[in-house]
Amino acid sequence: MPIPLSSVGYAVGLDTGLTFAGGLNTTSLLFGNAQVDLTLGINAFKTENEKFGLTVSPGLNLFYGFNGGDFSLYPQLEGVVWKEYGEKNNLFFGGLGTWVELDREKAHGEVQVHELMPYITLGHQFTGKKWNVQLEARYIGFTYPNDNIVVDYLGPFSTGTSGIYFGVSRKLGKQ
Amino acid sequence: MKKVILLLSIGFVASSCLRMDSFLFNPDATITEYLLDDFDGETEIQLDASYNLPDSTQHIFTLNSDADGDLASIYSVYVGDISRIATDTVILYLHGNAGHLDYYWPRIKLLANVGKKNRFGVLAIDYRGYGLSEGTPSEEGLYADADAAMAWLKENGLTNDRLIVYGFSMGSAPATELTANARSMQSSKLMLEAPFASDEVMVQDASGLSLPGSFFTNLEINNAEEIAKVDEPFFWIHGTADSFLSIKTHGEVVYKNYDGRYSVAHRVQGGEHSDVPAIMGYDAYNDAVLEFIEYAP
Repeated sequence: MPIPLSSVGYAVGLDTGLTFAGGLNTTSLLFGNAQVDLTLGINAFKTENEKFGLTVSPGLNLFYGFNGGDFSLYPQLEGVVWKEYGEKNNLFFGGLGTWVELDREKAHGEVQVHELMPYITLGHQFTGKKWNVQLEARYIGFTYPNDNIVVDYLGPFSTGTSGIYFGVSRKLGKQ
Repeated sequence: MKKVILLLSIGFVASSCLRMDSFLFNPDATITEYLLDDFDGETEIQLDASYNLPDSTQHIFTLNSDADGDLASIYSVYVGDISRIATDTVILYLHGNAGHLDYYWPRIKLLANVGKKNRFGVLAIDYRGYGLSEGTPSEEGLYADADAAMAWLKENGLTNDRLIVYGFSMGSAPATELTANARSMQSSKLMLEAPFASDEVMVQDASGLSLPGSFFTNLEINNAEEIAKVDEPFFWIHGTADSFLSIKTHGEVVYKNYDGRYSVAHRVQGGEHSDVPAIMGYDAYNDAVLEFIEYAP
């Protein structure tokens, strides 16, 4: 059964090529955890007509569990290629990202062999005057087999898991 | 120009479940009576008629269990001669997280055939919320219900040296807990089939990351640590192809952490989570159980 993961976020353009974004995972909050992501979107490349580009986004994922007082931190790096098209500037995007596992130890002193949790993302944004709507598919942990674990994940070639994301964003202030 | 965007995102990650608490208990409380041999629903293993036991040795009754004031009447089945508990060796079978006693009846019968028919008494319970047992499943309920079974055995004359505790899958939690931290009785030997290490290992298996278990569950089950307190002889059996509780991340960790006086491991090639006795072969399985009960010091 799919589990809905919801979040609310806020993004602000710091410069023409630099965007800061922060998000709060509201599903995690319902589970008693504060899960916050902070990312910096850097326009690494953009064509002169600004219709095609590459955005690189380093970020941090922070977790705090109110039940056990545990804290976890996962750095993240994502590279997304995007292509605007049409009069409304809708865009396709796709890229590669990963979370970084800093902890070399798992429960009971076992060695953590996963150093990265990579994902592939592919999506489309419908651009409106005030509202944008995004649809995105992710293939998460595709380098790891998904058998012999307690969860029945749905991923191609018995690896990783798949996710569908739906996002709505409202543009505020002067455009 | 500054651009400010408010984002609302909803993602659907394809998984069977997120909260580990809901994984732990999967009871079937829809039955109106226990059918045992007449049960025609799904069972973990299938036995032929040669394993059938005399009706006179099958006793279904209730026990009162108190989990920190949460009282429940739970159902039990004893296979053997109750009047001989004072002299027999008894296996307390603590079943897994699914179904009810009928589902595990062939496993109970298999243990009652170890050595010969009714060589050992076998007591099994439906935890609270399972089958016809009252109440709602809980971690403390598992321990209290298993302890209620031990208290009944003690009342009927069983002594610690003749009590064997066998925990399968989720049943490894009360089996290990009550062997490590004895309540009504101290079992003389511990047998675990496809045990899980802890809820935290489940979380980390599921996420692939070193996330704390407390992010997802309030359970405090920790067989991997509790087993370190056990000195009694330990029998571990696990299928190498277990797709639910990985032998590598669960069973091997529990086995490695045991530091008692005697242990034996059976890694059953090709065995899945629920079919280890069948894959191993019933005779080979029964021989291994018998050898452990008879010869482990």
